[in-house]
Amino acid sequence: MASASTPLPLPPYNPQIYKRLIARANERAKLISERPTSAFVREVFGTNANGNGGGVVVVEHDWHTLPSKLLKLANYLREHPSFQSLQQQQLENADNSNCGDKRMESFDTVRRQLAAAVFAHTMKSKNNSFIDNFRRLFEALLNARQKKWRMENSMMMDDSMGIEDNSNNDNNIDEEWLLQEEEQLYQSLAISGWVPIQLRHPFREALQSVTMNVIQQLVAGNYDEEGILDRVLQWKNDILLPWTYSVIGPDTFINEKWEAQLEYIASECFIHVRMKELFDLTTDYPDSLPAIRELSVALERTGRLWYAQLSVEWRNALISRLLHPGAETSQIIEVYISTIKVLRAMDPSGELLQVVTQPVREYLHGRTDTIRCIITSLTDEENGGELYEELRRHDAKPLEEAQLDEDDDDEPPTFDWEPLPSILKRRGVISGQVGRVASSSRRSGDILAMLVGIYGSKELFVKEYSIMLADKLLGNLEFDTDKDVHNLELLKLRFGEASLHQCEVMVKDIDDSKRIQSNIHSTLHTHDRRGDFGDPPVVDAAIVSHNFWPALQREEMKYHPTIKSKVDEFSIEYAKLKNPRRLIWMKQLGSVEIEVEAYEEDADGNLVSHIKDVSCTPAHANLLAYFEDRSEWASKALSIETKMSEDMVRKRMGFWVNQRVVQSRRLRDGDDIMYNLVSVSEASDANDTSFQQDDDGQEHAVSIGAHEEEAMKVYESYIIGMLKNLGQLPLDRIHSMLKTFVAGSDHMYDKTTQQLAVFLKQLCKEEKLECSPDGLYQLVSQNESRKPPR
Amino acid sequence: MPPTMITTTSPNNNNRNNTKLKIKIKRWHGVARWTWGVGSSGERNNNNNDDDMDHGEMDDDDGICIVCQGPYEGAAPGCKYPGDECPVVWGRCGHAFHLQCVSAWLRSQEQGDASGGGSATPSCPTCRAEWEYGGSNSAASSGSGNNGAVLTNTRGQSAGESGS
Repeated sequence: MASASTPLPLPPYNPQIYKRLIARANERAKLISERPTSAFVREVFGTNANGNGGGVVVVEHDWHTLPSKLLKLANYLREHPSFQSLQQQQLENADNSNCGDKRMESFDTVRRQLAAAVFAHTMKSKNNSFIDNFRRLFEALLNARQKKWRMENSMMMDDSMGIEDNSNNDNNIDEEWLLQEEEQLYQSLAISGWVPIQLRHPFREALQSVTMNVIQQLVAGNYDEEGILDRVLQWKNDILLPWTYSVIGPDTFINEKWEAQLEYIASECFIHVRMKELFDLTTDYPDSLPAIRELSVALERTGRLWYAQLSVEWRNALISRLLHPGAETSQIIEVYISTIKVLRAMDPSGELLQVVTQPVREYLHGRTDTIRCIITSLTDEENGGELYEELRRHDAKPLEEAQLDEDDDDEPPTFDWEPLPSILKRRGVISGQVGRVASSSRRSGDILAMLVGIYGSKELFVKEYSIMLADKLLGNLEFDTDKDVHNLELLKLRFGEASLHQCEVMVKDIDDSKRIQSNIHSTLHTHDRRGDFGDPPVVDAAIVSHNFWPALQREEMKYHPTIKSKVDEFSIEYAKLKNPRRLIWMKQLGSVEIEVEAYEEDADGNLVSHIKDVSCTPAHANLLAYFEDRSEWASKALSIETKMSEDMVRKRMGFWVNQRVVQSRRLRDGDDIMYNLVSVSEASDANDTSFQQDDDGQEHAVSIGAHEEEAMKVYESYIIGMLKNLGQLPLDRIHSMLKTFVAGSDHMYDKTTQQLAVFLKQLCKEEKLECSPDGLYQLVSQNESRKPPR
Repeated sequence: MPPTMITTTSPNNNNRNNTKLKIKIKRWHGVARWTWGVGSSGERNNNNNDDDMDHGEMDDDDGICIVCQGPYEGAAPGCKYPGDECPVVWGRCGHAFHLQCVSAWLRSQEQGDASGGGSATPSCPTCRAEWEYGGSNSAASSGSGNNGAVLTNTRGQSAGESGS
């Protein structure tokens, strides 16, 4: 008969125990088969008493009959003379203890004989169902009690405990019957004296499975409520304690310290339930704080034995639910942060933190956009969340300081220092990884330090930050740097002044640009000698100290004369203002707002026009400027005029085609593309439908591509150098040599062999290197010079 | 007109030909870098004409101040920001250095004088010619009051004035 509540996987049976019991029982069964007790047992338990030598009985597979059988056995014992005399003696309350002992002994003998007979006769059956039935009986009893208790408490407790109430009505009858029989059953059990010995295992199993079920119902999914553990313990006091007491009897209860055992069992079950929910606890972090606190209390209560398994479960939960391609990097970082926070609350030693988060750190290290993600959320006020707050913490410590804390201790070193005992080593499950716990900053769980620790150094972060800052500053049309200055100051607190010097210069450049721009504009305004049509100066510039900026994209481009005159005006004023400095324009960078007016004479000779405002890159505007001179241009001609590559011309003209300013068509002969202006009527028709097309991403990513390329360029000279000296080299060799030689210089060699292979292929394409079929790389020129003699 | 124009056969040919375009620039936000205009030789590029400005874009060869071995557009040791805080000065011989760098050099020469060793007159770190501020384009280095202020406690001030 199944219990009412949902079954959980039970702690596994130990079949060994039963086998041993059976073997022993069989031996004894032969010995005792002639005793009177055996005869009685046969009478109670079965009919075919004389079936075989041992007189083994086929046991009925129903625990419902157990109470009555137990009663019979108990009555047999009660009627036994030795029991009678024992009772009598207790009634007389005699001081003569010797005599009492003797009587006790004789009763014990009878009892033992009976037990031996029973178990000898019942053990042999296939499924240990006799013992099993006891487990069921105990379970049913406990469940019945639990249900009753729940009914009584349903007024106080809310619905979280009443869900199972309407399960199946068959059980209700059982329960009522059981509760009626209860008292008698316990008495029978007490007289038989089986519970502490023969029925120890079924009893414990029943206890554990019911506790597990109940706690599951009480606890699961409920993170944000305080006092759940208290409720569990309350339940233990209300149900488990009296039940155990009555089943096991007062003597054993005290002798075996069942009160403590029950508390342990309850805590353990609590931990088990929570262990399945670790991931949800983590993601719900601030709300799940009560659950986390209680979990750590329970962990302490069980003597920290569960830490090791907890960390394994946690790791597995993170791996299976978080570290897969479907999760966004920002999500992973978020969970990582909450994991750090949870563990900070749970385990101040930081040991769990190290073990649990290790796979996350490794995984994040493998993702390319991790740093970018971290920095974005560090500096993003609106969406930054946790990290933004973290950066603004008042007790923020510089990273180096946090990492060096241990060394800077003022206390003199002592020789009797011993490492703290590892909480994980007790069961030795993951002892191997504990050794990795290195710096105190990791122990302390400083989130930023943990994040930086993924990469081992802050340099990468600073580098990535400078790239992002460059992008942001160059896109900052208002030259408004307040926020960046603010962020920079905060970052300086954590990363140190020196490492962010470069970024400071960048911000200052933009500040200066603002001043220079207003200065130049006012100068141009005052001695504007162009009189009435003197339009206000339109050019401004972000003037960078390029040594301090990440590599910016460069591309050759020639301005259209009208644009050039305007830009030069600015350059000349700058040269006057900052003599002897002068400007070198990075012509394709920046942004431009223009008003495009298409006009024509219609059939009646009236002037019609269509005006639209467009913002685009300088390169786009430059191209369109050529259409002022002529309404038709071929892509090749434009490429020659602007010095842009023809590909880029086509790509950029695509923008104007989309804007319905020009239309394109392919010429029949050759691959030239012809662009001509769209007529006014068409342009105005298309006005509403003109969709906002994003500029091609490449124009925006001011520096990323250029940056990586430049990084690789550094290695090119090394590679060419080593090939010049050594002739042919395989990929691995080049890789290891680069590792050795480049390590000492400013540019660390941190590429993988795959990245190197890609780069080498690139060099082959540029015809600088050659790759032989057996994977050896060599210089091209060398090869050619060698060939002719053959 | 290029010959390609003739091959057009689109039906709205007429329309297209009389459509004109006018562009009004409302704002041109460019990106530029600044340079002291010192070539890799350490001597000034004086041809400040338009052609140079165009080709300058591809001119990657930044000069290096031989005293600090840093680019002229960088910051000399002890300076936080490049540019205004770390100006470049020219000697009469045409060689350029960061102001801080050449001042330190001249100071060390002076001290060498006092202790008996070293040359009698301050010399250019590059060519050992007698050092005098100014160079060919004198307005440049000593023109701004800013630079003059920095120069006050160095020997350079008198030289700067004589240059201008």
